[in-house]
Amino acid sequence: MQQTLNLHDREELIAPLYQFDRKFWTTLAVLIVIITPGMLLYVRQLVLGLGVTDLNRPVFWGAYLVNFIFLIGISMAGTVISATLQLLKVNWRRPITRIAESLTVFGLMTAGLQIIMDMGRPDRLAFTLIYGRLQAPLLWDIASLTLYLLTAVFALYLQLIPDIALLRDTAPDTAPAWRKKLYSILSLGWTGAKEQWRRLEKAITVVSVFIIPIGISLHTVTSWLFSTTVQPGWKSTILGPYFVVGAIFSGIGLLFIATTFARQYNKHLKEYITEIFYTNLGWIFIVMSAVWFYFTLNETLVVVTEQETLEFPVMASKLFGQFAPAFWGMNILMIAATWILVAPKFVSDKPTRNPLLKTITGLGATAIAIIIFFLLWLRLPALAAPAIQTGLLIAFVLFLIFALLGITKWMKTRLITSTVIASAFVLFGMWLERWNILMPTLTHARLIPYTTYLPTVTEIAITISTFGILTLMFVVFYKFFPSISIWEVEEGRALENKSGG
Amino acid sequence: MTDWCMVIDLEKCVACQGCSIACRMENNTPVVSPEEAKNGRAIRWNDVFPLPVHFGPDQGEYPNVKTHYSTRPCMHCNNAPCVKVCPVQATFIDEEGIVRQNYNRCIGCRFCTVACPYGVRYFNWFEPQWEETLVEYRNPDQLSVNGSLEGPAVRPAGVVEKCTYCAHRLVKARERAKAEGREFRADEYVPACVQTCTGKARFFGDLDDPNSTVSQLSKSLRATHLLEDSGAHPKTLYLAEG
Amino acid sequence: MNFPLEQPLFQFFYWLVNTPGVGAAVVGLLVGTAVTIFALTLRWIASAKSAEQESYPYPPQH
Repeated sequence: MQQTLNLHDREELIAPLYQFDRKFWTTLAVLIVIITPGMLLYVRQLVLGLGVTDLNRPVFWGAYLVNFIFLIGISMAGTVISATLQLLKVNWRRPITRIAESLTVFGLMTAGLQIIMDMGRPDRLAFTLIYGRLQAPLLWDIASLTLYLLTAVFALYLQLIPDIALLRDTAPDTAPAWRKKLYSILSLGWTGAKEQWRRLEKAITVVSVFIIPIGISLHTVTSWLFSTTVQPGWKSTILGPYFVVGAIFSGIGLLFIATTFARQYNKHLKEYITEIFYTNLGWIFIVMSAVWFYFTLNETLVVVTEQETLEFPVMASKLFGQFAPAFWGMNILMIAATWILVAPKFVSDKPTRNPLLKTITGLGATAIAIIIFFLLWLRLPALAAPAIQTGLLIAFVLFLIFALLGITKWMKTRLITSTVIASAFVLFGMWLERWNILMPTLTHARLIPYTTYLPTVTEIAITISTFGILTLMFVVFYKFFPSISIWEVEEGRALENKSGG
Repeated sequence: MTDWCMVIDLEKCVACQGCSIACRMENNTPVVSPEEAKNGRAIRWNDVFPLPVHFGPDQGEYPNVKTHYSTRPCMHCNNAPCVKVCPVQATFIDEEGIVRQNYNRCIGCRFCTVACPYGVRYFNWFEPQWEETLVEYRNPDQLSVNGSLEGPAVRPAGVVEKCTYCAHRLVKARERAKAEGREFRADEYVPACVQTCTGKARFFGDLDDPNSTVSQLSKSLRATHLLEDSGAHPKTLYLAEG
Repeated sequence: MNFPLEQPLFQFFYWLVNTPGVGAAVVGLLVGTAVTIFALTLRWIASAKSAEQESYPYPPQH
């Protein structure tokens, strides 16, 4: 019979949990430095009032709400993807389920934090529970968020039980007593009896079935916060699925980044989280990007074509107005991310003679493209002639294509690096997407002159702080629990051996 | 059943902003600094603004210029978007059709301010402040039933406020009638903006009473609502210009 | 006029969605049900007692 947990695994996955080395403390210190300014500025906001932000009339919602939607989005993917893969019995999911599920929990917690930071009277938070009205979309969101958070914590905990029992049984003698006690309580007296395994797996399957609709409901309800109002740009029926697709898209992006971060942090994980995961989830990523482009085209084209008096100014501000940098920036980021993911699939990994596919060509073309961009941007009077401007624009696009072609080969050999770059692009692009949904509508009120909104230092610091808190939770949590579901990996190996031998 | 309603005759309105100031004094709306006002933090429950809103006030070429102005209290919608989205019922429609705001209940989520198509709701970004002498001239009235806080009561920071058709005046008028031992008559109650209107452009009364001025005016061919397409069923009526 | 809110059923529905506290009760019910189910599931898993041990690739043999 297949030997169960081998010593090798134990050394690599459990031993680091007790090593509070310099790397850990440095990470902690850096994170605290990142978090502190935002927290201090939040205290200032509490004392002075929300006026320290750039919110105004009619821009009553701002960066906090954008962060809220973004965090809800990244939180959705973790558990929903893990549950889907679980139900489909996909084997390469095993090493990443833990990270995915924990991201959900932490994402939801920080999302809740954003709502509290956005409230004018956070001291009256309990009023939403005492006087909650069923008609208000905000209450649907509270119900959905609470339910999803509880279910996600439960799913994470269920997956953790066998591993906690393992930690309880294998704790080194040097381990502090309170940690042993913690593991002993949390393991619920798990012995690994056959009946216990049977029940656990049953419970995990049932939770996986239920968590998918709950997750989708949360993001749909979040979109309903906007689409149930009568404001131009929001009252759209497509917003619900658009939010869900964007959520899964950005969630996969964060999952890639978090997994790679964990791999870099604990080098041993590279044996468990292999390139297979990057390749296979990469395909889902590509599909989601295609769906996302489809929805974006729907949102844009319909409004542009009908040119309705209220809706069109909102769209126009995105296409060529004050939100053009954010809108086109988002599109360029998404196109670049898709290219990074798709293009390497079309070239072979053998050395090439084609000069177009050489890295040096790519770097040269990038440099030239940047120079042309600045020439265009500076609007030199010597180059003001329309013919020259058009020529420069065409040259810019041409060299951009050369640059993209040139880096393809380089990316082909660096699957993980290129996936992480694409993920970062997608995450930033998705944040901009949320911004582009919220802000143009808010700044284009019906009876108030069009205004602008730019986050102040307070809002930027609190945003940075929020992502710091997310990382901090991640780092601290994985000092207490293994970042890989050990028993699931073992189970996978056992199944492989069974079918192979 | 009474259904309070305001009618604004834009033909008579001279855009003097008297209603804005009367409302400010009656309802204790705090004054903000010019910088804050420029940033869109000024609170004017009753705003006077040039039309069209978005592409400049002037129409025509000099010297044939015409400028249109409009004045805008709360519409007190029958299907108020703000009331529908409030998670704690801090804002509600009372039995007489007035949309009111309870400062002691409001959690400051600003959903109502976002949902209102007319932009009549205002948020207290800071603790309200008055210049030293102005404090003495604040209206001491307030509405408070079972721990609620409404009307001209001084608002804390972080809550939303709005025009209430001077609902405290209604309570006062009722009390006075009761003390004098007679029936309350609908014409005993008018909001401050109606009382002060220079051009006598504002009318106030019971829409359910077929003999009241507002009912008569609501049958006018010029009678129209602001942004009728928003689906909020606004109640404040305008008599269109020209 | 045939307005739905004149019917008692719709009046009840309106009361349901418009009364402060009903929403809170619904959220409480959801959370309460979820937490109870989760707790019972955990108890159900933990309470499984079986004579045979280690019939599955875990836990490690000491």
